[in-house]
Amino acid sequence: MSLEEYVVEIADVYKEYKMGKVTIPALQGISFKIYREEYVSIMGPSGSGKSTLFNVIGGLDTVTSGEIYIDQVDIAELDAYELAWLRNRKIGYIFQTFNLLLAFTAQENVETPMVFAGRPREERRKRSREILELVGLGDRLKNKPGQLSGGQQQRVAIARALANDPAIVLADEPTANLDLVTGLEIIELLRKLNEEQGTTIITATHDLKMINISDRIIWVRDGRVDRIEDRTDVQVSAIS
Amino acid sequence: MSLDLPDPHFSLGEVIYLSFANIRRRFLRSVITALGIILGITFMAALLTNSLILGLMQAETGVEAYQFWLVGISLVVCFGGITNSMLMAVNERVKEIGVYKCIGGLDSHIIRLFIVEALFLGALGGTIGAIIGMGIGILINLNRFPIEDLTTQIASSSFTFVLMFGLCLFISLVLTALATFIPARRAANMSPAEALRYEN
Repeated sequence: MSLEEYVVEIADVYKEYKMGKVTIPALQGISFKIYREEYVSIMGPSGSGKSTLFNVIGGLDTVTSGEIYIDQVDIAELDAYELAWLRNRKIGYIFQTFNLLLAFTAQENVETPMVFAGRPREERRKRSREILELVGLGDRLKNKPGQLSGGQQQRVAIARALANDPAIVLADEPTANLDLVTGLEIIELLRKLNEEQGTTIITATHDLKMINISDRIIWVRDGRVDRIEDRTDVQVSAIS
Repeated sequence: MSLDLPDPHFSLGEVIYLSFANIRRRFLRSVITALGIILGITFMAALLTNSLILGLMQAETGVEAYQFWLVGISLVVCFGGITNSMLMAVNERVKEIGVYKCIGGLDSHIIRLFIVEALFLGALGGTIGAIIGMGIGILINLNRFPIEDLTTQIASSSFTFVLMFGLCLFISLVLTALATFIPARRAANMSPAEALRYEN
């Protein structure tokens, strides 16, 4: 692992939502760095700012102030086209509610990011089949999301996130809509991708099953970083 | 900051393929949307045809005075019906637009997808609506005038009827495209997070 290199750097990020006259502070000065090929879980109770953090790291939402660097690029300075490119090639997203395109088959869902990337149809067909086999859905290529179980849909979403070989996969509560066993399978799949493909994985979660496999855990509370722990520390503290 | 990116590449073939996949999957919803367009255009075409025939036959039936108002109202109904159908159809898909944005779709990609879909429904609804409407417009005049006179008059000014058909189709296409473009652009301008959170 090339641990010297940071893939995500967040410096003093603030995010406020305006609800009429009331201003709700969601992030209140968050800073941390994530190494390449790391598996990081962002944990905290609901309302702590996890999802907001997920959105701003992924360039899905703007920040009120502060800086976010993805691969040494300040995303605040990107125009709409460059941001779309970033979302398309650099980052893969996985959501709690899967967010698949219901009109399309599993294979077409995985192909869509490649369509936006302008890759030729033959290559898309081949690549989408490969990734779906990798996530264990080689026999479900032609099924639409409605014909798949929750766990299978989340696997399609993971395959879609991997379509353009992103440097980072961001997962927002990927197991929250799944039962215990399916959730574990998804976590193991994410870990496998992290180890075998070297994809940096960042999950926002309150699923404690994630602790066992994360390299580091960033605990968030009230829009601030509460503490950052290595996995070994967490296990030691859990035992003692 | 320049990342030195290649040009975006989203061919018309891909757009049409994706648009039709969406129409197929949302078939029932597409039919209902198309019906809304058909209804509006039918109403307008029927009143226009009726007005045209009354003018051609130089009839003194006492309804000519109202023709101007009737055609005006038919335009308003048509406009309302089509815009409403299309606005609803886009509005319930804001979340889908959010998904497209998350996986790297440009605003222009997304708007093109929706416009192609709308234009197809607009062309279909406009054609069917114009045919039915003109049919109704002629039918209601069948017992008002001798059929021979009616056919001679219609045949002699067939070009005007073709023009009217063209007008109906044109209005249908412009209204569907416009009523799709405006909400689709609004949704595409949202941040992806905002579009994903959107609840109808």
